[in-house]
Amino acid sequence: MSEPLLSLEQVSKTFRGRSTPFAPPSVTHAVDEVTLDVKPGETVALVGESGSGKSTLSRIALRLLDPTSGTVRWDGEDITRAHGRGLRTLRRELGVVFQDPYTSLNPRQTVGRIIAAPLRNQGLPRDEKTLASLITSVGLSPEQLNRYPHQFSGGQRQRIGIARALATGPRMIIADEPVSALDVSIRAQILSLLDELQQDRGLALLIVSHDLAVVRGIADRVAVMRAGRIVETGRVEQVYADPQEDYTRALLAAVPVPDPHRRARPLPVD
Amino acid sequence: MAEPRTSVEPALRLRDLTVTFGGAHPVRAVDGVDLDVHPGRVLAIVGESGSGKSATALASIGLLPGSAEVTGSATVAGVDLVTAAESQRVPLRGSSIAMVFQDALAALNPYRTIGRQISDAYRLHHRVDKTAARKRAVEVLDRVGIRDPERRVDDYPHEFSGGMRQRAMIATAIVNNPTVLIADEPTTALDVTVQQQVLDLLTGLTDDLGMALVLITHDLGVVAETADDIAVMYAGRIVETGTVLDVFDHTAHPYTRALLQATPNLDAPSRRLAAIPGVPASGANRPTGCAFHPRCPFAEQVGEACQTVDPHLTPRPGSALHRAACHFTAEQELPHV
Amino acid sequence: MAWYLARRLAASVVVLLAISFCVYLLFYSGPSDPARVLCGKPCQPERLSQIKQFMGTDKSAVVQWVDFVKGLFVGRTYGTGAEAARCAAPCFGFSFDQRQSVTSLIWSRLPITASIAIGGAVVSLIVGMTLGPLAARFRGGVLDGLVRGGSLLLVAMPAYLLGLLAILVFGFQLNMVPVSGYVPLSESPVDWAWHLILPWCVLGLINGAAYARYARNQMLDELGSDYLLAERATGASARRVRRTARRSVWVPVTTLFGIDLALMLGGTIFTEKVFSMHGIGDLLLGGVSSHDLGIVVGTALFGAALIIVGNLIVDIVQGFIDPRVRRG
Repeated sequence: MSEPLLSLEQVSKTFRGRSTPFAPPSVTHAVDEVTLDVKPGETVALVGESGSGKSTLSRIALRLLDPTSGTVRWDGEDITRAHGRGLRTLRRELGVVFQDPYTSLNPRQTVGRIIAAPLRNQGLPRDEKTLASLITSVGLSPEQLNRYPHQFSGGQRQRIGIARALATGPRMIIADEPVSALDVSIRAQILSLLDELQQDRGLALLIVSHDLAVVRGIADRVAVMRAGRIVETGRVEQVYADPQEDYTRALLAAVPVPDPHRRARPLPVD
Repeated sequence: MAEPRTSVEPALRLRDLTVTFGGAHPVRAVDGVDLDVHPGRVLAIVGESGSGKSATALASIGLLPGSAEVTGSATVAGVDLVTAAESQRVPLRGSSIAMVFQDALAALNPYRTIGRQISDAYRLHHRVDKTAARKRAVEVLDRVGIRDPERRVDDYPHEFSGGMRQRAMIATAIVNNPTVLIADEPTTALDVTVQQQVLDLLTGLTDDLGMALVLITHDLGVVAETADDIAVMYAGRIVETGTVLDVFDHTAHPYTRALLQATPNLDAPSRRLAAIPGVPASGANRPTGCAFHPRCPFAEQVGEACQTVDPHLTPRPGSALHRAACHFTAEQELPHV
Repeated sequence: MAWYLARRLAASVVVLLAISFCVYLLFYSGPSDPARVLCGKPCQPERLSQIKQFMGTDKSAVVQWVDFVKGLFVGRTYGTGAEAARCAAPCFGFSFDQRQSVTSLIWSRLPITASIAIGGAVVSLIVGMTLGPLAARFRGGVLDGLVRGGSLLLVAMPAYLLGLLAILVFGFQLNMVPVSGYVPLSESPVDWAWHLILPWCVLGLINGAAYARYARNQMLDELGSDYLLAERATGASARRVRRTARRSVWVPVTTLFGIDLALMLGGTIFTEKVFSMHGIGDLLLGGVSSHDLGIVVGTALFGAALIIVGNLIVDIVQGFIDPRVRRG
C-alpha cells in the first residue's frame, strides 16, 4: 500500500459570522474533525449537499484556508502552518480546477497567459512549445492560445482551466464541481478528459461534487459528507451497491433515474 | 387521472411560436414551436443552453422584454398572449397562467415577507381584504408543505431554506389556481434530496388542481420521473416530441439519444458516459440544414441532406403523437448501441 | 439591537478619540503658535508664558490632548482667578480671540448651517428620487440624456461656482430673490425660507444630481431582476412593478444622503461664504484665517462626530429598509 499523497487528519474549520445591526455573530462548524487520504494515482470523489462542508474541506486541502485544528500533510510533510515559500512545492504539485469556467478565467488575459500563470508564479520556463503541448493535451489547438476567454464556450473554458491546472506538471488535481456549470452534453466530455489525464499521467484526483451520479463512472473511492463530517467512505462499487448509512441511501435514492418505467408517478394514459 | 387528451381543449396552445431578439444581428431564439399542454398533464421541455426553452416559456406568459419580437400564437383561456394588448394580458397572468423560476432567492422580493407576497398575488385577482388574503396565504403555504405556516407567513425570504423558498414561490404561483403553471428549471438550484420533494409537490398539484404543468429542464432523469409528455429542443426548434414512453422507449432523434447516453443512470451498471462531441448550437450560431448535423454520428451516412435540408417534424409509426425531425430516422429506427 | 448599538457607540467613541488626537497633534505641532498670535506684535516673554499657561499650551502635547478630552466630558476652566474662563462640557475648546467656548460658538451658528443643510438635503432627495427613477423608466430618451448629462455637469461643478451663477442670474439679473444674509426662522418663516431658497437649490442640485445617477442605475438593475419579473408573472401591472422597484432605490441613496447631510451639518463652507451666511463653515473659515486653533480643532472634531453618528444612523435605517441586513 503506497503512502498517501494528500492527507487530512482530524481537520476542523469554524467560521465566525459578522455581526449585523440586529444580531450578534454566528459560529458555524463547517468542517468537523474530518480525516481523508488521497493516494498517488487514485481518484477520490468528495460528495455532499450544499452546506456539507465539502468545498471548505477542498480549500483546506489546497491550503487556501487555514484549518481551525487538525493537520494537513503533503507527501508526508506537515504543511498545516506553512506559508509563502513553504507552500512552493504544494503549489507546483497540486493543481486546481474551479467550478465556474466563466468567472475563474481572467477575461482580460489571453488563454496563453492564463495557462502560463502557474509557470510564471513558480519561475518555470514557459516557452511556446510547453504551452502548445498543454493546450493540445486538453483537446484545443495551439492557435487558440492568443484568443480571450469570451471567445470560448463553457466546455472549452473548462478545458482551459484544466490546462492551467496541468501547467506545472502536478501530481494531483483538485476539481471543485468541475461539470456542474456545464451543459449535459458537455459534462461527459470534461469527465472523460479528466479521467484520461488521470490515467495517462498517473495523477491523483479529488473531485468535489454534489452529484453522486456524475462521479460514479470515474471515481475509485467515494467519501460522503454531511454537516461537516464524512458519514461514509469506501470503494465506489461498494458504496453505490451497498450503502451502509441511511443518509447515503437517501442520497442515492433521490437521484432521478432516466427511465420512466422505474418511476413512482403513474405513467400517462394514451 | 388525466382525461384522454383529445376530448379536452389544451390549457396552453403554442402555434408557430417564434422569438427573435433584435439588434444589428437578429437572433432567432425560438423558431416555429407548436405545442399543446393539457390540463392535469406534465409537459417537459428539454434542452441545453441556447435551445430556446426559457424563451419559449417567457413568450408563453408574455414576459419577454420589449427587444424581443414574438410571432405566432400562445393561447391561454381563449386569449392569444402574443397579439393581445398588455391590458388584456395582465389579468391573465397569475390567474390563468403562472410561473415558477429557477432561483427562488432571486425571484422572491427580498424586502417583503413571504405572506405579503402571496397575499399581494392573491389580491391582484380577488377583491378581498388583507385579513382574508393572509388567511389564503397561510392556506397555500400549508398546501405546498411549509410546516407551521401561521408563523412562517411573516418570515422574509432569506429566513427560509432553499427548498422552502422554492415552495414559497410555488405558493405565490398557485394562489389563484392557474390553469397553466410554467416551471423553469425549478429544482436545478436545489439539493438532490430537496429536488425530489419539490417535484413531488409540483406533480401533486398538477393532479389535484388539474393544472397543466410545463416543466423546463435539462435533466432527463427529472423528465423520466415526472413528465407525461416531452418536447426536446435544440437550437430553437423542437427536434422530437411525444409521450414520455414514446421518447424514452422509441427514441427517434440522435440528439435525444445522445442526451440520454450523457445522463448517468444509477439503476444501470456503471459505464462511462458517452460524450457528445462539439458545442450545443443556438439560434445565434445555427448551422445550415439540420442544426445537429455537425455533432451527429449519422450525418455522414445520410450525406448532403443533413447539411442542406432542414428536417421537419414527421410522425413516427406506432404512436399518434410521437414526432421527430431527422433525415436519418425518417424511414428507419435508430440502431441499437 | 441594543447590543449592537452599544458596540457601535463604543467603537465610535474610540474613533473620535483617535481623530481628536490626530487633529490635535496636527494643528498644535504646526508652525503657528496660538499663544504668540494672541500675544500681539510687541510680545514680552513673560506675557507669552502667561498666555501659554492660561491656554494650557505650556504642557506636553499628550497632556494637552488629555486635558482636551477631559474637557469634552466634564468641561474645563482656562486660567485662574478673575481672568479664568469656564468652558462647560462638552468643551470642544476655547476661542481666546472671542473669549467664548467653541461649543457655544458652534451652538450659535448651528441654526444657520442646519437650515442650509437640512433644506438642501430635502431638495436633493426630491431631485434625485424623482429624476433618477424617471430617467430609468424612459431609458435612452430625452429625459434620461438630460439627467445623465446634467448630473455629470453638476457633480463636476463646484458649489461656489453654481452659487455665484445662481446669485448672478436669479439675484441680480432677474432680481427674484435676495442674494445674501440670513433671517432666523423665529423672526419670519417666510423671509427665512426666501433667503435660503438659492442655497437650498444649489446644494440640492449638486447632491441631487449624484442621487439621480445612483437611483437611475439602481432602478435599471432592479427592473432587470428576477423578483420583479416574478411579480409581473403574478399579474402585477408594469406600473405596480415600478413602484415595488423604487423601494430598493432607497438603499444606495440613503447611504449617500446620510453622509452628505452629516457633512453639510458640519459646515457648508463655500455655500455660506457665497451667500454671506455666518454658519459653522464660516466659523471654521474665520478660525483658520485668524489662526484661532481652538475653533479649527473644535469644528473639525464636531464635523467628524457628525459623520460617525450619521454613519451609524444610516446603518440602522438600512436595516429597516432591507430585512436581509437584520440577520446574522
